Amino acid sequence: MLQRRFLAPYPLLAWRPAFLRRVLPEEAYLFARFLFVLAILLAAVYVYLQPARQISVTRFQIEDLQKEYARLQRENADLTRQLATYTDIRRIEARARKLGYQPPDTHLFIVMSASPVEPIAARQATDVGNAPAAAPHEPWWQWILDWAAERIDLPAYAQARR
Amino acid sequence: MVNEGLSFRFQRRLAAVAASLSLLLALLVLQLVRWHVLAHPDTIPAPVPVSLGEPQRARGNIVDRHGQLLATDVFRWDIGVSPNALKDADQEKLAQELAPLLKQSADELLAKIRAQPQAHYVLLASAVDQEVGERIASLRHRGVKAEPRPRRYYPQNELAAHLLGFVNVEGRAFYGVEEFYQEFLTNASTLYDSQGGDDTLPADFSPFIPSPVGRDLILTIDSGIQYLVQTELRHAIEYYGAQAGTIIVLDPRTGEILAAASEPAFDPNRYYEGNDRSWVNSAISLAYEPGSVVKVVTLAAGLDAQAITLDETFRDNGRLEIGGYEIRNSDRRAHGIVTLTDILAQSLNVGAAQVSLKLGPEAFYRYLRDFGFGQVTEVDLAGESAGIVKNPNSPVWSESDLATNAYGQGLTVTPLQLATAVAAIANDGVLMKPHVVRATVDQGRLIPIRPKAQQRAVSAETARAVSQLMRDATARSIDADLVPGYQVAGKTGTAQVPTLTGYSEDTTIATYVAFLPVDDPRVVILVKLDRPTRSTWAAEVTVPVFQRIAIELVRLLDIPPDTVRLSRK
Repeated sequence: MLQRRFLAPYPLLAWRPAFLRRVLPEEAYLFARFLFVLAILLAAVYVYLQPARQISVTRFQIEDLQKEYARLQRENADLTRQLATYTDIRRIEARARKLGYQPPDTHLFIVMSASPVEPIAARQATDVGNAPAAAPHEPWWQWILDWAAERIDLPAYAQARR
Repeated sequence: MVNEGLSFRFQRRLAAVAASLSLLLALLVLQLVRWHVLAHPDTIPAPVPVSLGEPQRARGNIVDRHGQLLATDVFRWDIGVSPNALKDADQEKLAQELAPLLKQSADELLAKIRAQPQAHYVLLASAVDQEVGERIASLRHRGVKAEPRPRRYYPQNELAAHLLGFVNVEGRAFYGVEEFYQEFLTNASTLYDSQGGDDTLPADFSPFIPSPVGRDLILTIDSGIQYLVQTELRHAIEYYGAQAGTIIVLDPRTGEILAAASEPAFDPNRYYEGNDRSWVNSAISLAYEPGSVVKVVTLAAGLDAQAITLDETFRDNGRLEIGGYEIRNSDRRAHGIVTLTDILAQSLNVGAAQVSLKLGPEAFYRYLRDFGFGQVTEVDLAGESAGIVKNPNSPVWSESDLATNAYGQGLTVTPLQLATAVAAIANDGVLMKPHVVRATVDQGRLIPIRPKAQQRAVSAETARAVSQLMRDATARSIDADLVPGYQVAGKTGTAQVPTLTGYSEDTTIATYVAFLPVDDPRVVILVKLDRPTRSTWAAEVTVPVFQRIAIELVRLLDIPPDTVRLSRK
């Protein structure tokens, strides 16, 4: 019927191998062929739509991430504000005063000797042959300072001495 | 027959299914063709970007020279509803739910919602905290709109308000660095870096710089000094009954402004509570007749032009008539033969006028301009005034102006011009351009702003000679031990306030400008009080303020006393 109705003018389309003529009725064969063509077309559409779907999904993900970024940015701004508030100079002053701190009355400056080590020229003059280098000259009170620094743990002093 | 009938029905169904599938496929293909072939890309709506507030209004951070945050952007939320999208029961429920979050009563909220039942939008609360805003947004209520908006926030409140300026709710900046660097801070300008930018950003700045905007400013001011100066100014105004005041602390070697305070002040977070009078930075915008401080410039000009010598003396008869105008000393007395130190120490108008007359108008006004008077200092703050210095070729100038200008009458300067001029004397005669921004930071790249010399006002020898005169005058007229351990060079100025009929006898503007240590000046301090009532004399109202500030400053800046410093040399 179908063959007669639709395919009569196109005999080439109605052609099928002999073994199929025996196995499948004509209608079933034509429907199967229709499904095959449909499947190919659907596959083509799928191949096209799949990346489009991925693009859409990615777009939604980006939107979510942008929202999250904006939220984090707002949160960061709020934390910055809190941090700045805690380092407010008036707040620190009030806290320091509460803890009993006072502005210093005097500022003590200690004048150090201008040349604590032997001048280079003098050292070179005494450096003769293989003679062992002389120990650097230190004033007699230096060991007291070193000893005290060790006891009270003054890192800045220790570093300077190194 | 049955078989034929079945076959026929089967074939019809088959044809119907095939036709339906074909139709669906055709529709699908047609739709795809319509979207991708017929439709122009512009007609397809772009995905709506997620708003990060209003990008054009987001601004970079501003920190002081030690990285202390002075200005940043925070987000505040506007909470609104659409009454026309809510049923009565929903409105009540919503009001109940939002009331504790917005700290308003449910009745109050309900009244707001029901006031305009057909409105698309009614604002329930603005400037809501970040935490509350996020919570309301997360409720996802139909008809409720929670929108975050960037707002400028000044964590130190009124600290350095005049230097910073403020930004209004529309994102427009006024005054200070906010206005001056508007384009830079909002990332609206292209930065042409001619000075490199390889300097490393100090670690101390890391909590606040670089900001998300990536355009930040590091100021020259020191928050500690700024706080000291603002506190002292406030006390001084209260104690001396002054109407207004200004204090500037400047590094004469670089022109860096370490602190600058003016009263009346305002809180930039609540700028709307202030007015033009409090917003304006009188340190740069309000020019006034400075009075006797200008004598320092007059003597420097006379010495530099060799119109006078260091050991020259003048006859002071207590009055001097010039151009039909009689000049008198402030104490109305004659002082006989006076030296340059006497002119400064006793602030003798007659002596100063004689110096300017010897110098002549051309040279005198040239020196005034070389010291920066009558022109803007080009400080990087919005709203600077140039002051007024008459031109000797102008018809409004008279010979008497030459004499009165010599002691600071008949010309106007801003406090910053005055401080910069005295800083030039402290800096061996070189006038430095004052500035408040130490470095700009572009996307984390540090671009320092180098000190810039404007011009040489006088020779180094002249500058040192005038420094010595100022030091001697201070020691003689004020106190040799004004700042214990440090030699101070300064000059007071008590200017009468000009009125429509002349000068007021009762009101003055008192100024004291000084620098220390004299041998190696580190700071110039200017103290100005407007119309003090406890005393009208600068020596009695501004010098004590200077003294208190200077004593603290030498500690804060770690400046060794003269004995220690000179023993090193």
